[in-house]
Amino acid sequence: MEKWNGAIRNVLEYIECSAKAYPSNLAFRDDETQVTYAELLRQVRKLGYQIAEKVSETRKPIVVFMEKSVECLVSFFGIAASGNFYVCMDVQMAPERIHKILDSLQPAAVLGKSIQNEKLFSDYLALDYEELLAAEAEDGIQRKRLQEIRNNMIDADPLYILYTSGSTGIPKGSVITHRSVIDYAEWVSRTFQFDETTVFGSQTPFYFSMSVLDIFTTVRNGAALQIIPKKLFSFPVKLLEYMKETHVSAIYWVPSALSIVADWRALDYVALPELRTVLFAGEVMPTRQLNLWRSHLPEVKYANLFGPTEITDIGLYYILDREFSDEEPIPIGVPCENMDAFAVTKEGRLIREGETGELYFRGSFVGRGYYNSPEKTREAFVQNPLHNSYPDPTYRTGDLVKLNERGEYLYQGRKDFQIKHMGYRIELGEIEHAAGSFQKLERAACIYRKEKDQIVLIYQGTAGKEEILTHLKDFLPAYMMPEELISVPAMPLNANGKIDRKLLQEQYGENG
Amino acid sequence: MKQVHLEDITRLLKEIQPLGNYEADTPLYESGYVDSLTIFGRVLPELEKTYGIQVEPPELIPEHFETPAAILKYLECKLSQSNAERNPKAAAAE
Repeated sequence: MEKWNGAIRNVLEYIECSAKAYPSNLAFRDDETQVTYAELLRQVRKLGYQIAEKVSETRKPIVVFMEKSVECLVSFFGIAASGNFYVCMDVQMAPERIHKILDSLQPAAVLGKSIQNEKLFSDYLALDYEELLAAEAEDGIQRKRLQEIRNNMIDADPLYILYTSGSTGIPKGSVITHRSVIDYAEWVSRTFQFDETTVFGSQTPFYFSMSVLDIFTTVRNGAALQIIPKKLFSFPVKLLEYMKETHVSAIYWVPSALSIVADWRALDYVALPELRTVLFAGEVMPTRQLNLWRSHLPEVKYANLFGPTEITDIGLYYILDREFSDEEPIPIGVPCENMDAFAVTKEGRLIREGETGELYFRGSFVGRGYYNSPEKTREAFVQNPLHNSYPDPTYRTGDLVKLNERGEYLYQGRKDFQIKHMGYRIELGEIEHAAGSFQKLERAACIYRKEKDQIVLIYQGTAGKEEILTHLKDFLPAYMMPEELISVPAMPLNANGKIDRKLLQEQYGENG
Repeated sequence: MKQVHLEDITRLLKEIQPLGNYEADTPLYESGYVDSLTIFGRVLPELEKTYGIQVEPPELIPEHFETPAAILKYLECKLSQSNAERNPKAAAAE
């Protein structure tokens, strides 16, 4: 750990240090490609220089439009080397949603593979990944230019923007700086003792905040990141065999993925002697499934992590240190080192043991707000509600938590209509907006069946189910698509003339 | 023995995910309409219920579920197995 001491200002230093200490260690690997640290550094510099040649400005967003791959990761760091910040986009995302994001983002360029003729990006500078990497540059000139760029960067500059669902139908882009990511990666590495022998088995998409842990802890330690093909998450036994073959020693997955492995008894069929660390976040981990993992792999370190995209990834954590019955919830634990988490009652005071309140975060993992969205930023990035003596920015989560007798936080739910579905954060409002834009629908409301993890759209109107889904597909990513559509002759309304969600939930909720 | 037809499979998939078009050799995972959640949450429970079979973990492999035709083949195999277990003599005579 000592070698990292001193002020790291830029995540590129991680790659430079690892390329020096472990040049031949594998950094990133997928089924098609792999790169060592020495090669990664060479590619990142080349890409960074070539991007800087095309995009003269710095501190501008550059979209990465690529499948989850080694190239995608090289692109992130290449964009950082060019003095800009990356925005990873889901290539499966609905075109209308991409439009909305591009409109608010106004990126300096879009980087991808053969995207020059893509109509979606016709208003923007399209950069071809392979062309940039193949371009020739004089070594001395490249080095000088990259150094100039670096000299002008500080740790408060953004590293990336990550978009999440927005309740008004427009996704919100969280701006995260080098400083936040560095402090986060340092905390993760210390807490879970990752090192150059660690192999991360990456499950989450790169447009999802959990992947930040995998990516930056990997390069920080000279470790390896193995991209696990998405398809394998439908074939639990195959999945574990793949992990065994690729020597995965640490995973940070959504509970849905861990539960599939447990439910299908895959651990009965494949032993994982190299697995040391199992981390999870993104939704509530069912204790019964976690207990199955723990009984099969008792030597592994398990931890429940908790935090929103706005604070990089995580602000609270709980390392499993005791037994839990299948019915007991797993705590979300205590604040990460040098982070503050506190919960406030409706009356505006700190919660006491046994009370529920809204969770706030304070500290260097907290991002800079939402890109080109001052209003949304003001709503969530607020002055510490406990005092007004000096500017003390906090992030207000909208999550409700409780304190147990051990001083650990327990997750209690949301204040609003945000849900977690397969680990994805979804505002039901965004789905309702998309449905509302369909002329044949008079009214539409969304409810969530927690037990079945199902999104249900209830609607009033003449449209058929297939045409509604066809319409929604243009606006929503696959994970936001409702799994059941229910047609009602008349939408129930409450006394204020608004859709009566309580009644809908009662009628069509869990047992609907 | 219960008969299975390709249409039974494609109809089931259509009910679960109306947006997809399902032919015998439609690659389900690449279509983007079927993911692990649809398979585990809807497709498998429905197959198990309708055909009275139990899918064993090692049988969950791409070869059995990649296309509607693959699912059909897998189901036929499962059903003839369970038939043989229930009635070994008849199965031997077949």
